[in-house]
Formats: sequence, structure tokens, C-alpha cells
Amino acid sequence: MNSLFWERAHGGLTHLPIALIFAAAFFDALAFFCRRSRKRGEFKAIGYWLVIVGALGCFGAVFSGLLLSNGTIGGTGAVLRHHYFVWPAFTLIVGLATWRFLVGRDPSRRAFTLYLGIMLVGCSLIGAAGFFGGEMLLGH
Amino acid sequence: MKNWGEGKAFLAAILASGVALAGMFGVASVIRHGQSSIAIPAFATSTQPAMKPLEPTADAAHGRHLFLMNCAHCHGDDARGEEGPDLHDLHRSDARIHEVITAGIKGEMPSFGKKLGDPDVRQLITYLRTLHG
Repeated sequence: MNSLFWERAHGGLTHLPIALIFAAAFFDALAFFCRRSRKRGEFKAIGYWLVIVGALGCFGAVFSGLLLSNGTIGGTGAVLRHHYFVWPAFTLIVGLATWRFLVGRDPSRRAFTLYLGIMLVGCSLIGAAGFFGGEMLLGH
Repeated sequence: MKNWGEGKAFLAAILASGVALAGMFGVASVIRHGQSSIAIPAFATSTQPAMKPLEPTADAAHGRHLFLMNCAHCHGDDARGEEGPDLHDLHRSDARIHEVITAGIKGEMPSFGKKLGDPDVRQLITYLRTLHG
């Protein structure tokens, strides 16, 4: 298992949680805006499970990244820029998933609004982390 | 499971985030300082000795000299990576490596196009191709 193996493993393990978190945000947004839809409860249930599974997947993504980078938390250049976004995104997603898990599928409207806002920030951070991660591979 | 109150869940979420982050930093520390203890064989570290070229040629030898003069201060004497990345087992084409060396990478790596001629770059690539493991 050399660095090439971990490079591939990190790529594979990263994209699943990214997709799950983005999908969770999408379905929660649907639930938020489609208040009169009969599917609203189902949208919330989908968002609920996707964010939990996505957050669990984040551990695999971060762990493989640490193995790939020899345990680098910061680094330099593109690695550093990647990490500027990875750590806040990871922390935020774990926090959001924990909150959602504990509160349940149907939080109050006010709390759900705040949750969605923070989720949007989390998705932006994930997107930026993914962008700079891709830059390391494809940007030169 | 009975649902928690939103405020209480918020505090628990902050705690979980902190624990997760601290846990991952701990894992990073273990990887940095105790790679053998988690049994990851052949894992690239900057402390491992450089692999000797399998078939040293004049080109590779000159390439190594060029590497030590121009590249080692960022990529390490053993090319295992320091400020710059590990250069063992590069899976890029010779043309791509040639382009990176001569043009550099904006904000990441200086250009060596003016300093190194085409034969020098080719010898450097010949040396890099001898780095395995």
C-alpha cells in the first residue's frame, strides 16, 4: 500500500460522503420549501438518513486523506488550501449530523431554518475542499 | 429513541464535533509518529532511506545530481517529499513531467525552463523513473 493506493482510496472514499451530504441538503431544502406537499415527511426522512450516513462516510474520507498525506493536518500550497476547508467542513458536518440524529426527523421550523443555513455553509466548505483537492491532481 | 431537546442536542453536537476533530488530529499524530504501530507497510515517509536506482545509468546519475542541486530542498534528498510532494512512483507521462519542470506550477513550484536545458530535464526524468517503492 503506497501513496498511489491511498490516492485512489481517498478519491473513492471522498466522493460518496460528498454526494450524500449534498443530497441531504437538497432533500431537506425540498422539505423546507414544499410545506404543503404530501411528500414533505419523506423528504425530511431522506435528508435525515443521508446526512447521518454522509457524516459517517466523512470519517473514512478524512482517514484515507491522513494516510495519503502521512498524517499532515496543515501542509503547504494546495494541500494547505485543501485543509483550510476540509477541517471546518468535517467539523460542521459531524456537528450537524449529530444534532439531526438527536433531535429527530421533524425539528421546529425555526431550528430547521438555522440547520439548513448551516448546511449550506457546510456544502460550500465541502465544495471548496473538493475543488482544491482536485487541483492537486488535475491543476498541474 | 426519544428525541432530545434542540438546545441540548446543539450542545451535544458541538461536543461531538470537537471530539471528532480531536480524534482525527490524534489519528494524524499516530500516523506521523507511529506508522509501524498501525502496520501500514511500504508507506511513504520522509525518514525512510532513498531507494537505490535499479540500473544506474550515466543519465540517471546526472539526473540525480541535478535533482540534488535543484529539487532536493523542496522534495527531500530522497525525493520522499518535504515541502513538495513525494516523487516516487510518479504516474504521469514523461511529457507531463517535462512540462511541470520547465513551466513550473503557479504558486506551487518555480519554473526551471531557463535554468535547465532539454537534455537536463530528460536526465532528471530518467532519474525520477528509477524511484520506486
